[in-house]
Amino acid sequence: MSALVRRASAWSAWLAFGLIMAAHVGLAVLAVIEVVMLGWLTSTWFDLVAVSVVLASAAAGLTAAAWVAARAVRGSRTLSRLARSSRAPCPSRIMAAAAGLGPGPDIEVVRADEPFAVTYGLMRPRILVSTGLAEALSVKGIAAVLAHERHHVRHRDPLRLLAVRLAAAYGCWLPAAAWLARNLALRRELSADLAAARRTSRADLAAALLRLASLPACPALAAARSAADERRSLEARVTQLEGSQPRRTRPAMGRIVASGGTIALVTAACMCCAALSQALPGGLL
Amino acid sequence: MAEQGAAGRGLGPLEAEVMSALWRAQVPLAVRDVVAEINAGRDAPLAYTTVMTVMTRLAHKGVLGRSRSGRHYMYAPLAPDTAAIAVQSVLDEFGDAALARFVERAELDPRLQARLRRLMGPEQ
Repeated sequence: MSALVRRASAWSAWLAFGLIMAAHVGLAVLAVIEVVMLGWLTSTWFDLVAVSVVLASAAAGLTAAAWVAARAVRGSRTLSRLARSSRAPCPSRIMAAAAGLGPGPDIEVVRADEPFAVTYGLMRPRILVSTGLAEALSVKGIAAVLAHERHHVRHRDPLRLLAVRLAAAYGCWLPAAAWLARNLALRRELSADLAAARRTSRADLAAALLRLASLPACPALAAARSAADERRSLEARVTQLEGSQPRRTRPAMGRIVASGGTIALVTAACMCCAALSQALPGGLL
Repeated sequence: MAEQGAAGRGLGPLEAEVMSALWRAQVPLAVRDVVAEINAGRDAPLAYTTVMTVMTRLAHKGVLGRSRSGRHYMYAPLAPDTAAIAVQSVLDEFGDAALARFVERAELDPRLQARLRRLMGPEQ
C-alpha cells in the first residue's frame, strides 16, 4: 500500500513538474511575441526585466536539457557500438554467477583490465561488464554485482536517471536542482543494493563494493565530478548495508533560500508576462 | 593485440601511435625511447616535446601509468588494447549521462573500508 502511495506521489510530482515546465516554456514564447508586437522601446523597465527573466530562465533550461539529452543518447549509442565491436567471450566465472541468479537479461562483455559493471541503454537497458570483473571478484561477488545491475535493468534505471537529469538540467538556474538529481540517483543505487543484498548476501555485496571502489580515481574524472559527492553516496550505501537508514542530507540553507528566491522571482516574472499579454492587440489571454 | 584494427575512438592518431609503441615494447618506456621508436618509422620526425605533451595527456586521462625513475618518468599502458581504452573513455566521458555504474572508482577512505570489511563478515 505504502509503495502504491509512494508511486502515486512520485508520478504526481513528475506531472506537476511537467505542467510547470510547459507553462514556463509557453510563457517564454508569449514573452517573445510580446517583445515583437509591443516593441522594447515602448515597454517600461519593469516589463523589460520580467520578460528577460522569463526568456533567460527558459532558454537556459532548454539549452541545458538539450545538452544532457544529446550526451545521453550519444553515450548510449557509442557504448552499444563498442560493446558490439569489441565483444569478448563471457568468462566462465561470470557465466557461473549469472546462472546462479537464474534466468535474466543477457550480459555484454568487453575486454578491459579495469573491473566494472554498468547498465546502459535508454529503451532497451542491458548490462555491460569487463573481463577484469571476472578476475577482481569471487563468483559470489560477481553475482552480487549482477543482481544489482539486474535491478537497474528491471526498473529501466538508465531512462529514469535521464529523466531526473533532464529535469535538473532544466532547473539549472535553481541552486538546489543538482542536489535533488544526486539524491534521486542515489535512491536508485540504494534500491538496487537492497535487491542485490536480498538476492545474494550483504557480505558479497560489501566485498564487491570494497574491491571496485578502492581503485584509484581517474584523475580527469576526479576533476570533472565532485569526489566529495561520490564519497557521500558510498557512505549512504554502506550505512544501508549495515542495516540503518542512510542519513537524509539537505542542501545548504543558503541554497534553499536562493532557490526559493529564484522561484519567486521567476514566478513573478511569469505572471507579469501573462498580464502584459492583455496589452497585445486582440488580447491573447 | 588488436591495436591496429579498432583505431581507438578514444584516441587521436598520435596518441594511437604512442600507445602502439608502448604495447610493442611491453616494458615501461621513457619519452625518449618512445620518440625513437615512433621516428624510426616516420619520414617527418616528431619533436621530443610533441611526444611528451601527448604522453602527459594520456597519463592524465588514466590511459598511461607513470613512475619516476631518476630524472624522468617511465610510462606503461594501463589498458591491454584500444578497445579497452575506448570503453574506458566512454565510461569516463558519459558516466554521468545515462548509465548506472555499479560504483565509481573513488579511492575509498580507510574508515569506509573498515566498515565494508566488517560487513564482509568473519570468513574474510
